[in-house]
Amino acid sequence: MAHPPLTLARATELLRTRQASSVELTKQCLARVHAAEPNLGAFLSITEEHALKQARAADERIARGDNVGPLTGVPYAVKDCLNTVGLRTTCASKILRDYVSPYDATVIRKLNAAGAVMVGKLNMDEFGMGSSCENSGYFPCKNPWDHGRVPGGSSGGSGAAVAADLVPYTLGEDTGGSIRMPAAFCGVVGLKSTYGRVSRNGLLALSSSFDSIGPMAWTVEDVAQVTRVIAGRDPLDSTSLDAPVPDYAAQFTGADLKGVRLGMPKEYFTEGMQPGVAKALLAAIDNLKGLGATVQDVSLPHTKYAMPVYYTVQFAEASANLARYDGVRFRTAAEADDLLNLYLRTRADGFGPEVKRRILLGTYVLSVGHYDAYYLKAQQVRELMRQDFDKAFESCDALITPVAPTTAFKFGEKSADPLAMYLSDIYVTAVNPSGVPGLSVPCGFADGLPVGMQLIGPRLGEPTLFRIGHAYQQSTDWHLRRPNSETTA
Amino acid sequence: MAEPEDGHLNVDAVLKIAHLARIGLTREQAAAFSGQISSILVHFKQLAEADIPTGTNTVGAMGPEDLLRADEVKPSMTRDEFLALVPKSQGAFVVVPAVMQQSEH
Repeated sequence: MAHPPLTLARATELLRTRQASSVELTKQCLARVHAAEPNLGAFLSITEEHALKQARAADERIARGDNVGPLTGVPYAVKDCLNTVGLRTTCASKILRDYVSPYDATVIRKLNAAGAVMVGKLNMDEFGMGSSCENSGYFPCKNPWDHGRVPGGSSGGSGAAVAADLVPYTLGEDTGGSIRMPAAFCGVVGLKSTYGRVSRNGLLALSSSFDSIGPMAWTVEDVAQVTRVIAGRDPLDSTSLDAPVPDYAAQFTGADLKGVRLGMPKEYFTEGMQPGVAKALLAAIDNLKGLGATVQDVSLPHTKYAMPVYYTVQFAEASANLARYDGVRFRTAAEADDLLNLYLRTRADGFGPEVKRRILLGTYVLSVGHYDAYYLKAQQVRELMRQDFDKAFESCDALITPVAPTTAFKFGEKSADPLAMYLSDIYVTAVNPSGVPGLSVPCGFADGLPVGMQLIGPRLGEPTLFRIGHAYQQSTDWHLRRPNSETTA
Repeated sequence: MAEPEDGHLNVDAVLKIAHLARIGLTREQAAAFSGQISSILVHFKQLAEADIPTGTNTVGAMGPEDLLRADEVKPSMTRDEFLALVPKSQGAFVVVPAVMQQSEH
């Protein structure tokens, strides 16, 4: 790689010391994106003109010294499920191929206000439905560490764009692991924020009681900086929490974790984990102990139900949320002589097989005669899972688990068997039904591919997760390694 | 809805659900979904094993409070902005095919 890696902290420093302008950094990122695409498949659209306009405005702002923050003038890219006014937002679905956002999502407005520079919109599994990015309605995204393997999903483009050093940070969205999985598979940091911590106004919904927006970057520090900007109460999202947003970085304690109590849920450390993944994780736990943290065994007894609970509710909510894509709105319609056939044909043509499968399953579990056995039961067990977490956090500050049982798998390895694909989410799905935050942090390599550890905190426990993750990165160098490169930051 | 006791969802049942979900499927497509959906539903049947204490609520991640806001008139998108987002429009109207005289299936 000819260029040095660009973290958010590094970009901020370059701009602050006038070693680079925002226009220069933006052009550099755009050049990297053009060199990587379309081969990598991380970007669904490159918003060059928009980015350069924002960069020029940021340079003027920096010159004036007008409210310059850590994101001012720094390029980023966003998962294509967030509305960006005047630009296409497709959710990687053909049914939205002509949809142009009429307004900005609240997180985009916040980033605009901070002077951030958006260079493009990122690939994903269609409507967030997938764990590999193979379900994109346009083209799959590759893993920068091995182009024969998936980047994880559904925010695959968000993980790959950081790992390939195309932009310093991205935004993803996590409904059941969709930030943490690609973060682990791509060797970067990703936050699934507490439910309600970040406004979802302007997010194209998959599953409204799970969806959470969060950043992805090389370092916990960068993720914390972005979270600080995008979090907070929003009158346009009634589920957003009215809780103050702390200065996360001010609570960092270097590489010192004295007094931090970590829990290892025994249900997450069972057979079925790839040996190299288990080895990396246990080494990370030893490292955290060495920094002063104590580690104890805990139990989350309803973990075995996490997968069916998560998917049952997700299918149900997705089937309702996606009813709006009907050929009457969103600019895409099939030819039909009557209204019923307009619906049937538009949705038959516009949705891919995984989306259809989940809508069918969601319709089924909500139907008379099956509602009690599936949907209601899942909601009840969901409450028990929530109580499991509450109990664990009585004696622990955070839990540590793997993110995925394996490293990134090969294209096609699981795509023929939907159930096998769902089972790859086994360690990440419990978090969303419980509304708690989860942070994926790179913790080693197995057979040359990145491994991630998951730190789970109580609701609004982001400060603790960031503190632990930051301390870990102060004493390890996994986040300094790059695909196909000897380069270090 | 037709469902044999072993949890297997046959092709006719899949076609019925697809119609309810307003997704056009051919019989061949429904046949492919039938096996996949059945295996997923069989796996999910383990939910029945869970021991649910009486009175377990289902309020979700936000807790039981109602979230309400004042019902105030505020500026919104214009009619032209809305109409720019539909496939077909005429004047101030959204154009859709005839609703009446549609076939039942």
